[in-house]
Amino acid sequence: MSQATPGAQDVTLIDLLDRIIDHGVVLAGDVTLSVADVDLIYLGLRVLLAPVERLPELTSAGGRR
Amino acid sequence: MTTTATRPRTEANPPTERAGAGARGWYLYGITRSGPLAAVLAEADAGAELDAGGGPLELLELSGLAAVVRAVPLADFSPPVLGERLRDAAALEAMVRGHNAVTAVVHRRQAILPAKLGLVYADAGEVAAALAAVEHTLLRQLERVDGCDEWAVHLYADPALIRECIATGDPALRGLRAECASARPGRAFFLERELRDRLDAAAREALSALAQEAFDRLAACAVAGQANPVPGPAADPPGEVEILRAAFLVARDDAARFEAALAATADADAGLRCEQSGPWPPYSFTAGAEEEAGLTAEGGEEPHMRAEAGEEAL
Repeated sequence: MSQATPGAQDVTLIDLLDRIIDHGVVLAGDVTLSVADVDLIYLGLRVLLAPVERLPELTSAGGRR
Repeated sequence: MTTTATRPRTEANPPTERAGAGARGWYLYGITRSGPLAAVLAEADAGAELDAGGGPLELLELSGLAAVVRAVPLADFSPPVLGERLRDAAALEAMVRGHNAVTAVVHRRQAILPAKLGLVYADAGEVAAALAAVEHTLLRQLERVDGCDEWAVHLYADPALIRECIATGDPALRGLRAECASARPGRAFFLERELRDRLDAAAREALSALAQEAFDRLAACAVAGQANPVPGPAADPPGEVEILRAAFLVARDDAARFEAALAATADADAGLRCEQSGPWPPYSFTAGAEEEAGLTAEGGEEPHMRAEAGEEAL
């Protein structure tokens, strides 16, 4: 099974960013930097995705289970 | 392994101001089981573009668990320095890809709980203590993701096609449409508005049902599934609306079955298109461990992401 990328934007990069920034395990402890500075990351994200206006605002349709 | 000295940290004394120029922290890539991973880590390092000053990949081990870490200069990860880096799209992409490259190499060899991006611990002892505190949960979580890959799935629908199907397929709406066509201008205006409103509602319902049906079909072939927020209309491809963005934890033995379910979900005649990516390390399936163990979830952005929940983009 391989990824399909028919769109102009690299879906793989978007999926990677979705995963790595929003998810992943976090150990409690003395975290000097953490993604507590989420705003900084989202700033970077917007720059990264700006050319095709992907994810301008991360609105939501809620979780469907 | 040497560790940096433990220093009390307070708001008034941020670590980066106290740390000397050479102070190092531990960048966390993920948590796996202890094992003979030297060759795997060497492989990951061979492909890595290292930041200047970064050490080789190492394992911080504690009983059955191992944290995959790299010593990094703390100064490079102070908020202002990191902030500058993350404003640079190329640097962010490199950081994200570098993080994933390491977790993916381990993931191909054995189960790993990949860490969130950008976690740097000042003291190796604290990583070990944190591991010890939630050891059983982490082991259970590793067991859950063992032999599994994560797949990302996006489902897009063509709303115009779906509205047209509803307008022609629903007898009441078909009648209303015919009435619109033959009504006098004044009455037609109101009828058209009613038709539009009812079509909007029916299309919202249909898209929601399609998303749910697709999710259920895919989840039936997966160990676990998670529906994530879909971005707003501005992110939708032209003429399409993303109706489902989800992650699935799929046993490698079930990969073919999952692929068949994906193929069955994409239905061009019905205006449904699927995109997927993977296999990923199980980033989206580590939350259980946090919740069960009361770990720091670092989920501060969640409310931001879900703030405008509700309306399906049409």
